[in-house]
Amino acid sequence: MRFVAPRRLRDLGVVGMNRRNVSCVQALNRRAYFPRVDDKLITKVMAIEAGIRVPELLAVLRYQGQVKELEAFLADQSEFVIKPSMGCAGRGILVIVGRKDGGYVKPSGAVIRFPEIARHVSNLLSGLYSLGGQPDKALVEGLVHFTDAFDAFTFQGVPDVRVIIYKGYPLMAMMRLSTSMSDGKANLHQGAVGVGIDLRSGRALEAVQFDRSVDVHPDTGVDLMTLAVPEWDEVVMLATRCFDVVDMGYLGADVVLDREEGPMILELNARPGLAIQVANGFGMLPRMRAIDAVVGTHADAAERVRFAIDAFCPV
Amino acid sequence: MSSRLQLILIATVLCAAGLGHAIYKSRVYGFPFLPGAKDAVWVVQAQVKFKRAAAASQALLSKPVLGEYSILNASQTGRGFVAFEDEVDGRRVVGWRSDKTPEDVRLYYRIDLAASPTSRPVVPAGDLATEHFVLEGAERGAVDELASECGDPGERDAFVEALAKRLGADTPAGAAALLLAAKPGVQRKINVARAVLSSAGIPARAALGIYLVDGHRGRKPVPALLVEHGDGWRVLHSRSSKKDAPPLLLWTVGTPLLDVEGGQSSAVTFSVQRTVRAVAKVAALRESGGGGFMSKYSLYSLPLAHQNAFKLLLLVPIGAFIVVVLRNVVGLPSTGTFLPVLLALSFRDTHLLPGITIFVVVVGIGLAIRGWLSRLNLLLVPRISAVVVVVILIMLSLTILAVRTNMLDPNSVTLFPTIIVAWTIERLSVLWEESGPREVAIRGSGMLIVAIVAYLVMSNTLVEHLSFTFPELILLVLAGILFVGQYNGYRLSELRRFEPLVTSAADSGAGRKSE
Repeated sequence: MRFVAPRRLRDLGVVGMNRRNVSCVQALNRRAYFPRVDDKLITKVMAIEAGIRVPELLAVLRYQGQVKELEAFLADQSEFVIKPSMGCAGRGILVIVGRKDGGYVKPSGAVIRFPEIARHVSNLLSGLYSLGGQPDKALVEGLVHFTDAFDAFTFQGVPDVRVIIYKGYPLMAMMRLSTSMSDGKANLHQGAVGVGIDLRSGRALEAVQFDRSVDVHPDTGVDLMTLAVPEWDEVVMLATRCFDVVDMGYLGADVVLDREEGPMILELNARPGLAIQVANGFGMLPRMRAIDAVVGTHADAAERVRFAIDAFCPV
Repeated sequence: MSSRLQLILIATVLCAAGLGHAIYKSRVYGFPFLPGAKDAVWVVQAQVKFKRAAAASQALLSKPVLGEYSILNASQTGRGFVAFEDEVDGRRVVGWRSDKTPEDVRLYYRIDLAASPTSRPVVPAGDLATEHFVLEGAERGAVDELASECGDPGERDAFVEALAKRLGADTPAGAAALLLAAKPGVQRKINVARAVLSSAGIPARAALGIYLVDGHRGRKPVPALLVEHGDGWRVLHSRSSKKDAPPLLLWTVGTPLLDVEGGQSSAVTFSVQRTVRAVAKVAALRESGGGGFMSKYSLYSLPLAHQNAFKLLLLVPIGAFIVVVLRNVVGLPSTGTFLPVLLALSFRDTHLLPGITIFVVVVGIGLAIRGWLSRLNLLLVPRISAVVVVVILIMLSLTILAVRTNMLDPNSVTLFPTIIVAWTIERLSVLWEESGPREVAIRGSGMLIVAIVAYLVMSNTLVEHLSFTFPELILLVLAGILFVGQYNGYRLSELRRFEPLVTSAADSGAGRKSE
């Protein structure tokens, strides 16, 4: 066990949990706006209105009675995802990748029938997967065809890009890669690998697992420093525009890349974690200070992105 | 910065209020800051005796002049008599009256006394001018001579000192020898002193008191003399010049001790007994004896069973503070904010090791069963309810097992709060589903550590004593919690977590800068 002096962390501008909670989450995110990010339906509707690309919303189910109508609706759909609007940690997500003999094909190849889907939706609506067990809504979304750019960098699961937006400016970015240890989930707590991404180039800076430095992906053995996110400018731009949608000063935007449609916002987070600092190899405080000094001087998201890249990643 | 200033202001007020009140209670009522301290309590009983002279009779007995003592408890009894309290000519008395006076009357007045932390000087009632008290005839000249032997009455301290010495000497000399016959009684000495002081123009008053000596029984009151001395009054009595003189409780100063109507051959005798009680209890009695606003709200005034409940309740803020510190300053990952505090409270019933054992066993079994229940796709509330039922069943079997094998005190199992355990199981199993067994192990043991630390602090006798005796000290805890609430520095665990950042920054030297 090695501890470092708090002074050295301060010198590096590392933000700790207490400071994040008080100075970032509480000070910059209005309590009343939390549903905008905690309820995925609200996020989605607001994002669509603002012209931000999200996985297509096919249908919303609010009442148990609507489950009956679902079968007729799904008859035309060959691939879709059903997820709880207020679920967390990826629970209760049902992915259907195709149809076979009137049944529905799951990614594993298993075929299920409609009654199983109906039971899943029914459980979901009564709050089985939602935080605190409150009644929930079911979202039926179009399937995202994830880009294969990251296939070598991930063990199962869906890699996504987490960009932290501070007062509307991109602050830091990180790619989250699932591992066998994280059970295919892109959750750093469970052992997913975090790769810090350079805001200008979209290339890897540093990689960590369980807050400790790693060089290669523990399952695939690929050099993590060769990682580069395609369509990077678009990813940063999309994430930054989310600030204008939900108006929260400390925001985490999770971006996924679709093969055909490009980057899209999967979900937003009002309490993004701090591991991103370790993944990038530096603290976020100096960048926050720089942003604090210029807040309000840039007209739109594009200008804010330009400022952040020029200020934080000089060529 | 202004919120910081506000916080400091609030915290200062809270600390000042809490500490101030605690110190006030300790100074004025003698509440002790340390547990286990004992105080001497004198039980003094006055017995009034008289013989019947008429069918209707009444006895009035002066209440003692308290001075440096306070009464914790008082009671009067007398068979066939109605007891009452009254004030006669400015002096407070206890009285008894009866229309059918028996032949031999015995009346009792009992008081429990403890030394008062704030001793008031005894001041005689009424006119404080020099009293006119003279001895007749030849003695008058001797008095004047004795007075002149004692020096200048203007030097009052020295004068009184000299007088006491002369009258107290084993073989009196000079004028004192003349005034004091072969075997002078105390009363005689007092009278001589009164006459001398009167002629010297020094105010003095005759008084009656009793010596507080354990085991005294049937004692007559002791004559004494109050002499004006400096700002107050000094008490002279036959043993006042001796080094190991017992404490004297003044009963009357310049007023009658006992008035009896309808009776004859009346007398008062006193018995004294010394007992020892916990200081906090004595202080509480003193406080309630004071009859002040606060006495009604003292925790010691509650029935014993309620006191015990409060003892537990008042420890919760301490536990909360520990949770706050371990969470926000140390950064210990744990589950459930106040679950560990409740757990720590239940450890008080079971004691630490059996408590941890029961907890781990029950939660372990509960988790296993709950895992099976979750496969049934139950909703949240029915799921928790099912777990509660299962937990009760586990506890039932554990109790029976404990009783059969004499391994555990059966009380400790049944008292273990079922709901806390059920809720813990629920939290941990949700955590299991969302974050996996690793997280459950980390958070679960974190919770247990918080509970153990909280238990160790909360079961500390000093903490227990302070929180119950001085509930106002909770304001200090509150101030501490508010301070931690504004702490935005690093947690201890983060000094470890972010260690690679420092290492990598050092590796790359000044090469990479974030801006």
